[in-house]
Amino acid sequence: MRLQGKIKKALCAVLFVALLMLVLQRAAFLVERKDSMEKYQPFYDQKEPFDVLIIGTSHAINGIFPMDLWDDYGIVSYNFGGHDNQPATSYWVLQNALQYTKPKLVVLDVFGAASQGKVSDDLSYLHLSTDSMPFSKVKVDMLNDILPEYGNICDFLFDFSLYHNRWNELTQDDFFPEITKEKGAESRIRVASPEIYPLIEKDERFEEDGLGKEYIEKMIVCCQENGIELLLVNLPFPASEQKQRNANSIYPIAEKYGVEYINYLYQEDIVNYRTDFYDEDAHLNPSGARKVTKDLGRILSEEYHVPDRRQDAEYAGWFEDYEEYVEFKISNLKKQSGVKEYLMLLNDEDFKCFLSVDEDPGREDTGLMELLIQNIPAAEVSVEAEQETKLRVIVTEIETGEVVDTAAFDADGIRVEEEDHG
Amino acid sequence: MLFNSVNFLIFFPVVVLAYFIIPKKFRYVWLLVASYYFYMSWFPKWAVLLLFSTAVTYMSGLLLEWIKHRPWEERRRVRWKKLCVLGSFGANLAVLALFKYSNFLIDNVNSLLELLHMEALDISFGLALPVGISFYTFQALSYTMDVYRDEIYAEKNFLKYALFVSFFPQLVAGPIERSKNLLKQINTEHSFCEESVKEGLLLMLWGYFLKMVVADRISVFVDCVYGDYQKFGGWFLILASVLFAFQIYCDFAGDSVIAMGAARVMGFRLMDNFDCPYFSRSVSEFWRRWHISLSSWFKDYLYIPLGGNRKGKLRQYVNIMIVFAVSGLWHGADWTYIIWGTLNGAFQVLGALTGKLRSAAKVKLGLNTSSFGHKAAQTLITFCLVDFAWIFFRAQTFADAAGVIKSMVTVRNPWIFLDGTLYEAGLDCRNFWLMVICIGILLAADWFKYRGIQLRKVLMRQELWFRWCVYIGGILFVLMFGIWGSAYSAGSFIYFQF
Repeated sequence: MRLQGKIKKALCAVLFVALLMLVLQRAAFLVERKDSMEKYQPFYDQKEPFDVLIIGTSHAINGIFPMDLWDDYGIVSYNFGGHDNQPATSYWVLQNALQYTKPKLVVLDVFGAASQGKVSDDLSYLHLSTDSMPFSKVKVDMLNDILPEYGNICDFLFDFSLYHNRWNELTQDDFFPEITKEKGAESRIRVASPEIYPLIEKDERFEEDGLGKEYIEKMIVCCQENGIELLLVNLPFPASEQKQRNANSIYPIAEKYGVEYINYLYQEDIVNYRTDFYDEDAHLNPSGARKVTKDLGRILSEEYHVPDRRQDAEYAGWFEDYEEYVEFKISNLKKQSGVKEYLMLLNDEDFKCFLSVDEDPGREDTGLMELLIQNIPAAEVSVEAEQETKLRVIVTEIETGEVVDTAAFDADGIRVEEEDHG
Repeated sequence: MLFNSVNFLIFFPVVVLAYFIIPKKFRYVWLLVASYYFYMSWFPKWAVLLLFSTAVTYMSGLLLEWIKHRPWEERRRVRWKKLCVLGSFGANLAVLALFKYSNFLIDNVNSLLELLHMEALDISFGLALPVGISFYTFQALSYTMDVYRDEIYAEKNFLKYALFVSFFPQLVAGPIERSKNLLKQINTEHSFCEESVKEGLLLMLWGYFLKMVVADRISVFVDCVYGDYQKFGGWFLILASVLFAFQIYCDFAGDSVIAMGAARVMGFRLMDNFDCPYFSRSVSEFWRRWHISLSSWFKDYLYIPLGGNRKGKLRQYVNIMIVFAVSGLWHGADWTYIIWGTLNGAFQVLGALTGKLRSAAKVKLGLNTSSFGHKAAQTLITFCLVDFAWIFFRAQTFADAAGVIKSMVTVRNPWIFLDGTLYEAGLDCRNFWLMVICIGILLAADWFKYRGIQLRKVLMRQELWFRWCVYIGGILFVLMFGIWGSAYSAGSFIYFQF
């Protein structure tokens, strides 16, 4: 009886601890920032293997769209790019991803070759990569490798210690997180006019060795050891002379390991620097991203023979995902209040547009407007005299033929409410 | 190793687990090892001071015991006993003075020399203040006195005595235990007791609530306002000063309650250090309820030896002033602390001097002294007096304290409560009101205690599901709303650059 009583007490204690852990786990989930989960959860949720992983920096996040790779080529990929990820961080992000899938190919964005640090100066960027990373030896090794000099490992392994203070800023999104429809990519919607620098010769290089190159080589070795093909890319961006040198420093590394390196800085016909950039600094907007993704997908498909999974029943769910992605793109369209951003987003093969342009545009940047309209793959343009508004657009979804949005813009390029003309 | 550190949360369960596994007769050795490890986690060399204090007072105890049994005439015996006590006090207080008061002394001597236009002393000891030195020194000295007064026998076992001085739950922040209580318990074998463990953990949870949720949250506001009192004038300072009263209470009491809880888990009962102090209706009552272990120490080992109230009123008042000035000095080596202590002494002396007058006035005015209103007014006045003294405790210098008081009186800005500027002093709106709610919880709990209702006991009589809800909810509350871990700033998480 006494023994039974002791067993009962012990069971009670175990149950109490289990309940406590459960409650704390739910509380930790609630207060955690959801950015990382929203970006990476679909990767961890998918049971089917990925054929392509995209690793790298914000250039990759904003520049390569997995859903477009799927729609155009049937390529199953996930974008693991992280804002300001240094190559050392990317190396561990890759190691982590390889625990869950063995891709046929890794696309490695090599921006950051000249990096001398292991982690971004702004640790919030690292949280984006690590918060949703399940606890594992790789995660511990990662933090031990990259963090000691820069931050508190505890904040990354048990982020409740950091996030519990968020209780006073919880929103609906914390209770019902909005999971990405972009498979890790991120559409950043703006049209900037970056400064364009003259191109230097390919053999003008940043010669110094450092952590950036060291970890890029480690990633190459890691892929080769795991029998994974690797494609090094430097996505297009308005690169200063120094950044061009940094990008050129990858050529000898690619040669050393016998891997292909596509430096988009030298492929001037892919993007248009007037229409395809989000900011003056470096990042592609969705228009530019679609152009780069299209080209990259062709290479992956034709040169690397990455399989087309569109006929594969295992991946039928990706069609549903794509439908959601289209909904997401439509919602982005509806949110736009500026004409430049609106027209930029219409560089999309899912939409057909009917544009009614006033013969007197009434604005100074007509050149840019013309470029943006030319950028639209399926557009019917009519020029009319003295419209109520300077530009009217009717957008239909090609697949269904339904009108998904209509918009009108005034002379200042601001979206205006229009009366329904029937 | 602070109570609210990850290290302690690992250390404590390990110590407790091993404590109950180890055979009972060796448990005190394990606790001694754990206590020294706990203390040395701050700075290992400080353990030498702890050992010194322990050795001196242990030897004094043995010597006093030896003297007691000498076939000497009484006068000679008393003389030698006093000499022994003097030696123990002298050695311990010399160490305390060296580490805690040497810089204060030098600064004051230099100030005096400057006034006399003489060259300042070029001496600097540069000694850091060892953690808990004031607490364990007083605890050890109380042993010497208790043996001297024949209230206990000297402890023969050095390790047991060393544990009495260094018992980790109360080593660095009290309560300052008496040998009559703790040493006796060290000599008692403790079995695992589920009720004690539960009670102890519940006490610890309450202590963590006081410390992490209330005190540390209030400190954000108070530090912000007092740190720039010229900018935050008037009502900001009045509010900060009121809140500081609760901050210091929750900070001190939080540590004491965690200590009581940690000890209780292992079967020990430490004295209650705070007994609803802000419900006191006079300053002297406040001091019977505030930091009881220290107040009673001063009463037993300073006030009574000075003559207490046995040598006339004037002497009694002088004794009170001495005790409170020394108590101020014990809290910190600065004139602000001495002023704080002296003010508390003065309030009591004035209270005693005007006692008859006040009673007569009440009769003349026909006040109902047993009414709630009268009692509430007494409580409020006592709080105001005590809180006024706290200004000197909190301010960095006397000039700061004077500046704070001047701003309180001269700056009029009551609109801060209405236009939102109140939330610009470190705590946003939600944190501010959470703090207010927590102070409400504290006062409610104290009210029950004041009325003789022990909520802990009431809770332990409830159904299992209810108790578990309270336990889990309490832990969650402390972890979620406590100030701990890295500082999180939403602003630093806005991905504005890539």
